[in-house]
Amino acid sequence: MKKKLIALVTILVMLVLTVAGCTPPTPAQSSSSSKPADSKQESKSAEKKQIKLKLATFSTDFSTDWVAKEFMKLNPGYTVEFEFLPSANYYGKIMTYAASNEMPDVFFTQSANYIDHTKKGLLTDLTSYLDTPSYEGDMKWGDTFIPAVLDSARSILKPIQSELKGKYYAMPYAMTSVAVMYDKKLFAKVGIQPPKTWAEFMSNNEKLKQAGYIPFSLVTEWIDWYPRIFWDQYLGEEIAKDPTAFETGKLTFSDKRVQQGLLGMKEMWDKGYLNESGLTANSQDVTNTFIQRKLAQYMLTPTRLKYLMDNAPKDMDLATFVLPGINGKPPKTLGGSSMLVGVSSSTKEFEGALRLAKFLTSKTLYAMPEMKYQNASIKNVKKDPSLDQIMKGYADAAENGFIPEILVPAEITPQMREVFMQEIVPGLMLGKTNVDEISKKLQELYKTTYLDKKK
Amino acid sequence: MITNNNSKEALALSQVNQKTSLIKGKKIRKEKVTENITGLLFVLPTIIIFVVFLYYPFFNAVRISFYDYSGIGPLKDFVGLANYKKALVDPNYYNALFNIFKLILIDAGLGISIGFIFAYILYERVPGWKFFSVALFIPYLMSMVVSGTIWKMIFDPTIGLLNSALISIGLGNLARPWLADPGTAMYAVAVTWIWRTIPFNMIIMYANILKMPVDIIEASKIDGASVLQRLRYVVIPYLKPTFSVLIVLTITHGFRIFDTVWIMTQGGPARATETITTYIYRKAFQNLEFGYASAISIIMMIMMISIVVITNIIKRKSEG
Repeated sequence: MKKKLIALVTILVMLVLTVAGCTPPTPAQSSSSSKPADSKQESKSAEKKQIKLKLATFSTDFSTDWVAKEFMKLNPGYTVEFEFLPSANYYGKIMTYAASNEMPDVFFTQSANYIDHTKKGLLTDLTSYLDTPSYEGDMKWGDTFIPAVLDSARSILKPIQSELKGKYYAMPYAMTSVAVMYDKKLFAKVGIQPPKTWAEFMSNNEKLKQAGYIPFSLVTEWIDWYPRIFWDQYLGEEIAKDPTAFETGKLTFSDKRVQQGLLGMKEMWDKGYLNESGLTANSQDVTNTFIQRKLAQYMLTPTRLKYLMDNAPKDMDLATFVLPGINGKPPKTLGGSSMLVGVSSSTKEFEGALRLAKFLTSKTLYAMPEMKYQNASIKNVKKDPSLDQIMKGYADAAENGFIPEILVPAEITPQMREVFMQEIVPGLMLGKTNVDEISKKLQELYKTTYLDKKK
Repeated sequence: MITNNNSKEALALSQVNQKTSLIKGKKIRKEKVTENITGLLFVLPTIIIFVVFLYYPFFNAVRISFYDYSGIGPLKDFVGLANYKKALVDPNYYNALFNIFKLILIDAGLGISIGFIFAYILYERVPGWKFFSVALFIPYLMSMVVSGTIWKMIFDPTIGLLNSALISIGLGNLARPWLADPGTAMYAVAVTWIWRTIPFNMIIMYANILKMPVDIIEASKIDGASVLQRLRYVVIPYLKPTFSVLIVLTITHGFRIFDTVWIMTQGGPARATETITTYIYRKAFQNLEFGYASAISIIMMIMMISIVVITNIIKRKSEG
């Protein structure tokens, strides 16, 4: 009898330990006394019951859970479980959540994934909520955004706009632009100035290479940037007039200008102006190369600035410039609203999730010191004047406007994006393929993964 | 009368004996059942874990492999064997398979032989053997992610240790972007991989060498065998069963490599280091082709089982 009892107790203990090991982690708890939220009514209703939310992001602005803690500090009654994943792994995790019906209440999305998440019904239609008060409650939420950034967000869904009729399924978190960072002292040492034209840019690259530096950056997770920037120069105006040109067959991937966009990058690679490690090196690796003064010019978004600025030697005199247009036209920038915040269509706490989404696009957030390097998607956000030299390039880049997220549809589906990033661009750099083969492959993929499925 | 009475007594006695043995039998069976139930209850948590986390996902994966499935919603687009047929004509699948076999061959060749050399050196009690027995095992204790990150930094073409060392000793012409060059990337990943597998192989073989009967070695010494002759004719033949076990483990571990590749190259450049596991991950979580990814996983599983079975058959035949 005693033996049986011991056996039973042991089994129960093992079962309990097994189940305990499988339970999810407890969310971050607010540690300090709270400041009442501006929208008092929402706060009061939240106080009556604990609202639990889950937030998932790939933005390196939130690589720690500080944003969740700040939100909870300002909004008593909310508990936010926070998850950050690097972008390479983020979308896989989101799809896992979707498959198991455990979507985060608020999550970030981007580009072709935004189209995919909208098509799969994972995001709530936020269009009507643009007329509701912003996080601070002083104006309509929709009116807080910079119009160009809002347009950029809407344009991402252009391929499926006929079904959506101008709706918004996620809101722009930041106004992303890209600029080229350089060390003024290094430029002075080599005897060059920030380039105003493409010819000057290539001439600078040659001088930097001769001086023993890697002239320009290449990052594996951004390997598609250069073709996209060059395509805007060669085809941007034509596609702006006729956004369905590829769908109707008026433009194809065999178009010489599409091929030129790829060959522009190939030329830089063949001349040794790009870091060879960029085919596998991530932004962290390339940032370290820049900080170690081996890389002369680093093209990056503001989201990567914090690590760089925190670790760059103090004697570096950093500044940014806009990459000149390869075809001589005023250069537009990648980005716009490349990072978007959406509310899950399956959230059980919609009001709370909406409040969190509004917080992520609010003046309150952008006033926080952790956000000093990020360009806001909303109006009237004051920047620290000491950062002007760094942020000038990003502001100048945004002035010319944004390149649509999907211009030449080489990455319009997740399958095309994967092949483009993993096979096509690296293969072209390494000489394993040529532009004619690439054109054929892209056209075939466009047909099988997009056009046929659209029917 | 007396006979009748005796018969009746005998009958009654035998009936009593029968009943007693029946009762005893029942009691013994009951005790056995009780013991079995106790044993079953002890293994029940493990069985539950196996069923919930192994068998159910496995059968679910087999089911999904017959569908065109993006990962969301119900399974509705039944495609039969289409996913399997797609894998058999997919050049990227064969590329990933080729990379895995390349890695396994390198691991089997270098990982086991270097592990054996270390094990034998430890067995011969070289000076400092106690220190080396711990120090050489440290790589195995590190996580794959940490190992991958460290070696990625070592292989960095600009600020990495390897190129810096080559340049400093006048071999700058050998310096290259190890992880970004398709010709060297897979070998660089293999170096990182075997850096971790060598300690494991070393410990297994060291433990087996220690079990070797001392008198065999003594006899060989008396017969005048040199160190190399002892190694060749005594130690290596003795360790043959260990080698075959390690080869099977090398194959099964090699098929499952993921984190090292993902950290170092993510399957690049241009799929030069793409393995079956990274390919499955991409297909499932980046391309949202869960059906196809499941089909590849099932094919991979069948392949692994076949290799293990064939290896065991060969091993038994050679022993027989």
